[in-house]
Amino acid sequence: MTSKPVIAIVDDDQLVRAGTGSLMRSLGYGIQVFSSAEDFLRSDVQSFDCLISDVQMLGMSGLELQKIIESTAPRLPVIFLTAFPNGRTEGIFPSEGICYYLEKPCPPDELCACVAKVIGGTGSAA
Amino acid sequence: MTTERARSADNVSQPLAPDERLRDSGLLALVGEEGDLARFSTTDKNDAAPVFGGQDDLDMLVVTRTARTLSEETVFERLLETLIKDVLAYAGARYGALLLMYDGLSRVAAAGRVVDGEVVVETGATKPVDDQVPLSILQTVVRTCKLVVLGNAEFQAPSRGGESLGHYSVGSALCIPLLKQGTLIGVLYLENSFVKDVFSSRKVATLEVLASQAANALETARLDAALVAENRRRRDTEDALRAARAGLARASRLTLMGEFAASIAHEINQPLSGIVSSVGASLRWLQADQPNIEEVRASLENIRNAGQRAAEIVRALRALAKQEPAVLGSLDIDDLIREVLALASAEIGKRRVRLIARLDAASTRVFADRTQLQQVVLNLVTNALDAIDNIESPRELVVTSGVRDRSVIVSVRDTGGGVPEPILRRIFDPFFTTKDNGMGMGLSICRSVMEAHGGTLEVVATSEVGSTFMFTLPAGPAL
Repeated sequence: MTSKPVIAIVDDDQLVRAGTGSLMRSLGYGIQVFSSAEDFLRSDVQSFDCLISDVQMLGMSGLELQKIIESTAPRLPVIFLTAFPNGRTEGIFPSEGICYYLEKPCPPDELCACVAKVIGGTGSAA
Repeated sequence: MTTERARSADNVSQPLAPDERLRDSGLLALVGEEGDLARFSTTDKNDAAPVFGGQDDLDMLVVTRTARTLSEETVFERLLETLIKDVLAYAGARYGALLLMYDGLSRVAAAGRVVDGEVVVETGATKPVDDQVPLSILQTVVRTCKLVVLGNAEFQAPSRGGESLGHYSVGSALCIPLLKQGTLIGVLYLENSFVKDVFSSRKVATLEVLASQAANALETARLDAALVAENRRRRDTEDALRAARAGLARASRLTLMGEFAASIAHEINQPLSGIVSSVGASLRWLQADQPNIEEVRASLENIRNAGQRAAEIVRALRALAKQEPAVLGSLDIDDLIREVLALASAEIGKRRVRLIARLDAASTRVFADRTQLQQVVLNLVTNALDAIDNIESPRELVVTSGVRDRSVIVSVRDTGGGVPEPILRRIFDPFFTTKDNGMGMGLSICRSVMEAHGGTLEVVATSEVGSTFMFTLPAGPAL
């Protein structure tokens, strides 16, 4: 095991960031939290093993964020948590990237399994 | 039924004109009403000789005048009324009826008679009876399309209004066909049961000219009446459109409800999401070989906060659901603003904000719910004070009111930091807030209050030196 995978968490709600963050840390992942998509894009996007993001946010929405990631970090797996999944719960594969939509509030086991799957898919050590 | 001061009967008994024909003709009715006619009547009085010439001029004047009236009248009923009155006055008739042909059948469109010196006209479209028009005469005229004059008629003249003359009477009757391009469109019937030979050949000739003009005017008026019907149809269509638009407004309110429900779903899902993941995290922290009590404690606090947030949302919704129905009343917006500013004055002072109020809408009242409007003004003032909070200088709150284009306009300007574009886009959305302790319902409710009042609420200007919120209300009556 070289280093633990780091997960970026983007949500404009502190309660959600804290909950999701604690859950990921309890699984042994490193985390970095951002209160907006813009803040996340200002960080070293390529350094993360996975992104968990809200869709409906102040400023840039999750969907706009996804478009940018598609072109700037196409290999970054993205898990969107949304109150309105519009039936898009299964993996969408924009270009080479991996994108999941999970309904909010998401059962922790489901989120954990999804994270394990996408991180395993990128070849990073868990 | 309409009454109008008679132009004939009053003057008939007054010895203004020596000429009996003139008097009988009722033409004197016109004397004094119009300068031209007054001049002619003076001539008539002073000089008996040129009476005929005068009569010619008078005839022409009557024709011109009546023609003008006819062309000016656009409402069919009014036209019929005017026509009857003018003709009775000119002809010296005590009674007249105007019949119009509908699909070959004559109908009494208007009947006028002189009662106590006034011409009383009834309009309608009834089947003629002998009471209104001697049917034998009518049938003759309808059949032959030629006028009938009876100068010394002994005919049955039943009671016509106030003139009960018994069964038989000696008098004059005239029945003229109204022809337009050879087609009979109506019949004019005139009668004076008191006087023999009222309808002289000259008068009859003038009346014939009048009749042809009347026929034209009536045809035009009939077309106009058709237009009125068309207008009514258009109005009906407009009403239907209005109803459709109201339906659309309802639908968009429902859409708004849908959006509102979506907002509520999102807002409630946020704390729920925090709770669910915090519980998941807590269980994992506890299941570890070395349970991490500190992490569990942090998660539990997160859960508590999330639970409280959810409860706040429910409280806000309950408050919203409890909103009293609007009680509208006429009020002076300037008074209302002053009340609110007085209410907020302590807070304004405490925050060291300079208040500038320029109120200039007292001349116009608005129709509104006082409490709701106070809430809107207070909300805007509170928001403005919050916006100024982090500003060094200037710290100003400017409240203005005025009237423009039948609207009362109120603006609340602050010298805060302005509203950035992404926030501006959502500032009126329910549950949208940039405040740590806000529910994000204030402006959303304010806007719905203003819209319910037929008004608007907008951010009209915002930059780094401040923002201006403006609401409008339809102006009520001026004081």
